[in-house]
Amino acid sequence: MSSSAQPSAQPSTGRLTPRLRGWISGWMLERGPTSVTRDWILRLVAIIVVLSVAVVYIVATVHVPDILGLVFRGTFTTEPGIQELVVLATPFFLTALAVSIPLRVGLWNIGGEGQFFAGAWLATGFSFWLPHLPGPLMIIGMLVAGAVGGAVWAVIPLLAKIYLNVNEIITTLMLNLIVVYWVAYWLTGAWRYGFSQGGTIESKFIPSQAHLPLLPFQGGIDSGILVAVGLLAVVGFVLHYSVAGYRSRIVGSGPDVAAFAGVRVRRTIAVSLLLAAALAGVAGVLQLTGNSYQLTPGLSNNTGYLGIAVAVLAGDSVIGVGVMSCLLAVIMSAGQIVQVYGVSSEDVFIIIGLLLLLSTVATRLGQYRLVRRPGAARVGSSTLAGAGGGRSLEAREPTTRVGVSEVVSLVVETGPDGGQGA
Amino acid sequence: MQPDRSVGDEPDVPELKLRLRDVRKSFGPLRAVDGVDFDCRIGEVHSILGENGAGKSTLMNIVAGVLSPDSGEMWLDGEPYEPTSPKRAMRRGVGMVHQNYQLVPRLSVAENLFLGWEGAPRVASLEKLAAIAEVAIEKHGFHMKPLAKVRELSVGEQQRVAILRALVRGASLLILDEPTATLTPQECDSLFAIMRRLVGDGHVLIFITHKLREVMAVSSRVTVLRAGARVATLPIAECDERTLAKEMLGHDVDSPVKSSRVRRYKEVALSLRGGTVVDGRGSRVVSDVSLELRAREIVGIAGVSGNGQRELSEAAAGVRPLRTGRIEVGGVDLTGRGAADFIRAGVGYIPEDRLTAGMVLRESIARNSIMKALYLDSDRKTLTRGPFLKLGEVQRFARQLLDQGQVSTRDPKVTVGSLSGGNIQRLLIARELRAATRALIAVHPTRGLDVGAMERAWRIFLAARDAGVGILLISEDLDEVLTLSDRVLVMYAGRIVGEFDNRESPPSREHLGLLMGGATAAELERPAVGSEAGR
Repeated sequence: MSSSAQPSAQPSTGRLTPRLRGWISGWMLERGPTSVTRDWILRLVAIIVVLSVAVVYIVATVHVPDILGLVFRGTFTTEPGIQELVVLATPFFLTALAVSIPLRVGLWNIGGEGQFFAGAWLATGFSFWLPHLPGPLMIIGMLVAGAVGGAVWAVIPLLAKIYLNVNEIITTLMLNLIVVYWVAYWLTGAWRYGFSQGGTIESKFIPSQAHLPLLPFQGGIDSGILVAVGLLAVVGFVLHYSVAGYRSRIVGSGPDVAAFAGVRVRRTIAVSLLLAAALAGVAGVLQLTGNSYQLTPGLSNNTGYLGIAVAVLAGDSVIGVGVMSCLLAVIMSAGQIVQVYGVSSEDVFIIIGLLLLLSTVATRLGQYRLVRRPGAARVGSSTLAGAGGGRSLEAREPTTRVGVSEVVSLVVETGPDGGQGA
Repeated sequence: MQPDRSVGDEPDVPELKLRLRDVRKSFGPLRAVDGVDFDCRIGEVHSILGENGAGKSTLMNIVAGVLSPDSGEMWLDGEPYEPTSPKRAMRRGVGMVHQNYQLVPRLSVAENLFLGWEGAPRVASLEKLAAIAEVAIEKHGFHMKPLAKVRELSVGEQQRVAILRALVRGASLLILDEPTATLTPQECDSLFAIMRRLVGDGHVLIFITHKLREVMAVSSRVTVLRAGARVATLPIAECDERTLAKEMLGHDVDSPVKSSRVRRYKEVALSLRGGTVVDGRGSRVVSDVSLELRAREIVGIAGVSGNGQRELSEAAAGVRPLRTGRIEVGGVDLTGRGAADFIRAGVGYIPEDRLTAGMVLRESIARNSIMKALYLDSDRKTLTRGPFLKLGEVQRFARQLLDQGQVSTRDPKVTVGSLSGGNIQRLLIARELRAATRALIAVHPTRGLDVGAMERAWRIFLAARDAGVGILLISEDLDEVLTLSDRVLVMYAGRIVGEFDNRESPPSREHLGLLMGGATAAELERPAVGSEAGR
């Protein structure tokens, strides 16, 4: 029995009074079913909590009147603000899909960053090698080159995975480092921008007919967003409505059921990873042709890595990828504004990190419910038959339970005083 | 023994070991245990009898501290008893041996005995542990080597380790949850001998089962549960199998399922020649098995779990490749082909792990229903347009299966994970029967179904056979094998060790049991074979 039944038997157990211990021991965590709605509510709560923390932090450290209003207007209502939002959101759609699609078949593609650069590199090369192609052909060619470049960059991890079962997290991550130096090699060599001296390295500008047109709205919006949203919609449709999408979900459910259902696991994994990497490559091309017009080591602005955060926040929902991409773009954009007032760029990444941490913890914790331990009403008087005792809620598998008192007593009894104290 | 003590006595009646009053436990809307009173006396083997889902295991998990009751009161040895964890129950002398023995296979018997026990010595060499274990083994009259690795033991021996583990920890009340489910008839006999000896030593045993024969064989009293409630507690001398069956089911026993004789067809549904299969770790678990399944017959494979049946069934369904040998379905060689080709050839498969292999629990019923149909030309045409699914047709298809399987829900949009185990099983059977135009590989197809649903499934299998399907039935349940099969094969250690024509000359249960336990033909010829032959 817990201490509630024998409060006087243990004279001093830590700093909690027997009564308090008894009350705490009346609660426990019980595992229950989860639902998509519940997960999203929990994520939303996590987002609100983190953004509130961010607001408090900004108000406390930035001594500028109406700082929140400034940030809000700067992000959402000004022309450059909206343009910036679009520019920031565009690659997220694709780099997040680059994580989300393989995740459905059970693979972690951490190589979005490298695939982004591989795509951007090949597209840059395409524009330099065929500089006289007419505009539409040039842009389509660069998009294809980007997709190919990204996919090729995933071939080695893919082969290692399906033939040798080498962990794809490590291989894709390591290849990110290689592409950085590969790009640097070209930027300091054949493609070097003539005027740059010492400090920054960057490529020559791509031909002007390779620039994506601007949309006639709010002073010119980057049209890459249309490509990104279009690809998102196509991927969502295919995953949800096609036989191939259905089979990919079976593969993601485990090797046993995939074998049972006769799905070709290797092929499904290969298609998923190559498609994902191609999308990351396209993200690189959109950034190149829509925004920077030259290949630079900072082209990705970490979107390859941030795509992992977006994908995790989105769960396994394609719509979620869209929503979370926009959210992250807002945070990044607002972050750029507050940086003007002395908040460091690291703080913005801390916010994103907190967001990721809290929402994943929240969805996992959401599998449990805090319920009153049955018979807890007996604390102090042993005659009461657990009246109205714990409704066990809709727990279908009450297999895992953790007594709150056990957690607390563990903390208390193994505290600095030591369990045997006094 | 005094006559049955009526409910409502003083809580501290001395000869009562365990006393429960109005114990309740719900899982959502399901009242798993619905106000049960239960008394267990000192010096008895008390059987808990009930169908699957009657609440037997839930009730005893409450006693063992695994689950906590929603309400109700319990006394142990006359003292109030509120275990909040298995560890705390153990401190009061209540131990439970679950169906999964929860042993670490690569550790020795001695290490398993002491693992996770607060009374184990803090620092001790393996030799010292073995010495302590040896004493305990001697004390309870078990025969086992303390340094043997658990993975090298037979299922029956592993069970004895699990029992001993509870005894070492000081269990005076021992709960055995369906301990006979994976044992041969002979191993059951030696388990019963151990149980009698433990009672003689002053232990109290609670024996959970749904097999009437075993209740009659070993217990002194029996409590029958039905739908979460206690319907009777009887001394064993006052009942027979028929009355117990009636109490358990709540109605008279139906006319039992009887297989009519049909002429099997000449056409071979599935044939395997010289089949050898290796498991995931590369060891050979099916050796040189040849069998021929004709259209319109049921071939039952009896055997204790873990003798290669799983891998054999996977190979027959194309899920696991053959190492050597040749497999044909309907006369077409499918050696080396994948599961998709077997499905196209008309092989249905009810796997052992239906929850991890047969269904995707987080997907809807609709999407689970079409897992096989997508390979069959006729169904594929209605279900898809080009590379895309026609979701309306998919749902209509799922509703058909729900009807055929008599699943409790008619909504194809809910996830399979929200269905009960029995309903998932019915959906699976319906789906696989639809896909099985030539052959059906059915592994423990009725495990988890209540008696009514089981008999309905049996009739469905017989009807499918009569319609010309060949069925390979792999089951541990001898009743099932003997009721349905036209021919019976016995599998032991990866080989077929016996074959019987179940229509002309049905084998005796004893004979099958000995073969399942690995007895050789030479041993079988000697008339008196001891109960230890199972080893």
